[in-house]
Amino acid sequence: MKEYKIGNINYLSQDRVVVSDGEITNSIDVYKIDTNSKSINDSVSNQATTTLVPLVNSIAINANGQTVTALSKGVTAKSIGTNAESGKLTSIQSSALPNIYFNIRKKSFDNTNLYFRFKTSDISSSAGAKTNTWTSDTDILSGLSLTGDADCLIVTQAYGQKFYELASNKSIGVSNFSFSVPKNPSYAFLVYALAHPNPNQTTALFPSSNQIHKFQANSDPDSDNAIYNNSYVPRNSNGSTVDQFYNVFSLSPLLSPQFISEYQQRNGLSTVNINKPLFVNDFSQWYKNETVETSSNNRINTRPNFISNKIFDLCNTPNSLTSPTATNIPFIINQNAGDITLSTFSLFFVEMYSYLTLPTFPEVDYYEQNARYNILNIITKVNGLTCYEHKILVTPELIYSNNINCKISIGNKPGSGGVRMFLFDYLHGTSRNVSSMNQDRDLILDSLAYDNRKILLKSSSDLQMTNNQNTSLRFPANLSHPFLNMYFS
Amino acid sequence: MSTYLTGVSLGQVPTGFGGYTGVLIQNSGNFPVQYTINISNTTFDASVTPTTAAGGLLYDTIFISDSLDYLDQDQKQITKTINCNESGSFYILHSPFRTFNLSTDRSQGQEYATVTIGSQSSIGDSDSNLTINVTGNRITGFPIPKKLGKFYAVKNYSEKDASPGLAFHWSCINNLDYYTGFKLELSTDSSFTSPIVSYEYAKENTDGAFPLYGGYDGFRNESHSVTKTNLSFNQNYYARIQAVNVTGGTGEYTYATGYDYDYPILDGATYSGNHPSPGKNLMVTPTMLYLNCISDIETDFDLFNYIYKNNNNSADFRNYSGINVKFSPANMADEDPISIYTSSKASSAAINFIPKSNIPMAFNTGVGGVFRLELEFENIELFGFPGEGVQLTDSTNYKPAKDGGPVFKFDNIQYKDPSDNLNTRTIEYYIYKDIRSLFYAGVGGGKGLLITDTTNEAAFPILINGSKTETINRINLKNP
Repeated sequence: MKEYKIGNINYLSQDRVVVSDGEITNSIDVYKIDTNSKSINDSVSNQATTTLVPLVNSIAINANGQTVTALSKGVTAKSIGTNAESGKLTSIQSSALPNIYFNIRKKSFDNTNLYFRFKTSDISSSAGAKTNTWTSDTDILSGLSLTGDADCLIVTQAYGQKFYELASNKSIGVSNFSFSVPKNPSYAFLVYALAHPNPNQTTALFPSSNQIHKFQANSDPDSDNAIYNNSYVPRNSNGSTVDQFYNVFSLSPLLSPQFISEYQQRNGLSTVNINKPLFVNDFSQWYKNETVETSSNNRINTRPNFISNKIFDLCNTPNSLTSPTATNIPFIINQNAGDITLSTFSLFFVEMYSYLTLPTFPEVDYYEQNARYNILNIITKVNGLTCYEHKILVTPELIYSNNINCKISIGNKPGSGGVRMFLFDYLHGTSRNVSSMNQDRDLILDSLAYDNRKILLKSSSDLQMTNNQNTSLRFPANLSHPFLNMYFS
Repeated sequence: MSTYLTGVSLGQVPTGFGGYTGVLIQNSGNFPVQYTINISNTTFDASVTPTTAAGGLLYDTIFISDSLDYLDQDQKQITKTINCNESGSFYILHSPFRTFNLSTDRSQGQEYATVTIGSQSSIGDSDSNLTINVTGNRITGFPIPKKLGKFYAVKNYSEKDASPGLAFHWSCINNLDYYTGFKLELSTDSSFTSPIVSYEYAKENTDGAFPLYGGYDGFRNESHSVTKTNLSFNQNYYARIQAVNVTGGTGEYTYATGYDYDYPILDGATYSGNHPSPGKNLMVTPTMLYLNCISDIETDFDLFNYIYKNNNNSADFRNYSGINVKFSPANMADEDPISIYTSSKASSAAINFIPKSNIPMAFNTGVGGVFRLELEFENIELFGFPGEGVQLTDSTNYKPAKDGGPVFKFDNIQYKDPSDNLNTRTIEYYIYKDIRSLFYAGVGGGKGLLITDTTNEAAFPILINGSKTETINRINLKNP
């Protein structure tokens, strides 16, 4: 029997049920009943009566005025019948299926709230061309470039769409660029992919994806210290310096006076109390259920939610490469040297948020002294699901800078084991408030999904799901990206 | 006053047309000067006599005027005051053949007038008069018309029209171009093998102040248009046009460009008439019917009925190439707006498009030769019907579990239109969703469970029916 997990509940503004193995063949198995015979000690016997449980046969007894069954010491549970099939995406009235096509709905967003955007839809070079510079969209901010070693970026083409491959063990970035700290909630979105030529390498990708993205104060960046915009080195509550690692997707805390009280605005902020002593430094650590260790000092942090690795797979065809089918094929790229098949290909839409809020339940409920702090929220979502949620108590006295020198880095480190990394889109912007940011977020994600629809669908045009000759679905529902949100048999 | 010009021979002007030349007066002195311009009566060569003229009178055919657009035939004098180091101008207009009555009497030849320009400065001194001897050249032959420009077509039809039209527009972009009409060819093939030819004629002037055709500069910048109706949808069309003179002589072809809207901004090739053969394909494709389906909750949604009602209770879509239905919640301003469409039975779907047998559906086609039914989903959750689980009647008998239902149920619809040689037209379905929308087929029923004693299965069996997963409710697990 297939199992379905209820989890992955934090979807920004909603909670939902996620089917973790991507296909539906049976109902949710919430209550599991062991089908093996049980002993008296762990059976389902009714113990709410003084009647002794019979040794051999179950009997009818009277307990508290009602006739109930007293099971014998041994019971057998067996399943009856078979599971029925789940529904199709489409069915037909007549004998032949009409042509049915599918694609992502066209959406665009107003980029006036963006500070910068790096995109690949405007690449004019041919597949295989090499460069070391990713230049920002000049319609938003000109003159900003992410630069790396010579030829570290390779123009890659798949299904009619161009993007960059970032070479193994290379990074691109910019250091020491003057940045006006956003006064409102800020966000950064990164669309990238990890891939491997061999099948079933999904899990192997994760340890290789550390330090993919940093956007932080420029001060002493390589020491992994002082990532806050006031150059503060985080310490835990007993005053000792903590091992400060970057989150796998790090958006530096960019403070917002909009959520700071008048007193705080008058007096500034002077210290920071980091209640989360340990950042995640390894993707595999983050990937695990127990991603971040809790500690006695961890008063208000919430655990990152579990993410099924299945939720990432866009192409994971371990068993079918020897006989690929129409719906089960490797991801194919071209770099002007023939087709390159990638039997593992995972596409990630990463959202990073940073904003201040006033403390609410349960933060204040647990410790009243928390009421004097503001809460700096740092949230990372991958493919729509919260993978990291971090809250920092910020004292009203903390001094922070309005203008700082920043550093951005996007890296493919260590890139060992044949893991390949591809870059599609990277942007940063602000919103008026958190509510507005949620609306902006929906538009941006929809727009990014549309812009990268050819990659999502592995198709250069509308994806044909049926035709008159073949009534079988041509869409690999169980391999689809979570953004497609389609479940059927 | 210096003399720069004492004689001018006007260009050849054919029967029914006019000609002109401009005269520039430059005041190079140190004071403003008033110029007085006079013209004599027209005289003719010896072959033209009062007996050949209309009414026995030899009308003037050479005039002076301040404008090409206005002529006072009795005006013999123009006065102009020109400041020092400035210039002024007037026109000498020629409208031959006005003096003839019968076309048989018309002849080619020359006619003459004298223009005299006197001057007097603002301080009182005057210069000697300047005399310009004007010769008009009258011809009875007709030159080949020049190439036309700005030739384009605009789609011309409404959704209520059974057939489309094309509105053609063109202009004369050369001066002194002498034509009386146009030859418009509309072809269904790019080689113009058997075009539909129509002639459009230039309007004749009737007030006598102007030549019979056009103005004194021919038709320069004059625009023309004609609309061709009762054309066919999805048919290749190419168009070309020539100017035609009174003897049937035609000029160079100009090929049409097509636009979807009125008053387009013309590209350079279209403006100059240099669009290469055969021009643009002017095919008219029927428009799409756009509908916004706004609802929060629906069960077994009958998409056909919805479209039928929104087409004025008609299933006739022959004036459309497709239908676009955008599904969205009623209040998109909510924090998490969502609409839920469900199905009440496995034989149905959340979205159903099944035309009624008593309401035949007729439709046109567009790009690709099909009728597009586009369904766009924004914040919509679609759920198929869940199947019943195994139903146990006793320890040995049970009803098997049932399959879940689909998300969409579509019909394979075909239509043969008499106007299309009974070619079979088909509908293709296009589903576009945003990432928030969810398509969730009905879950199949689960297995049942029988719990019995290990020693006696027949005694006290506990029957547990298989599960049926109802549409999964959207439960806030944080705050249920």
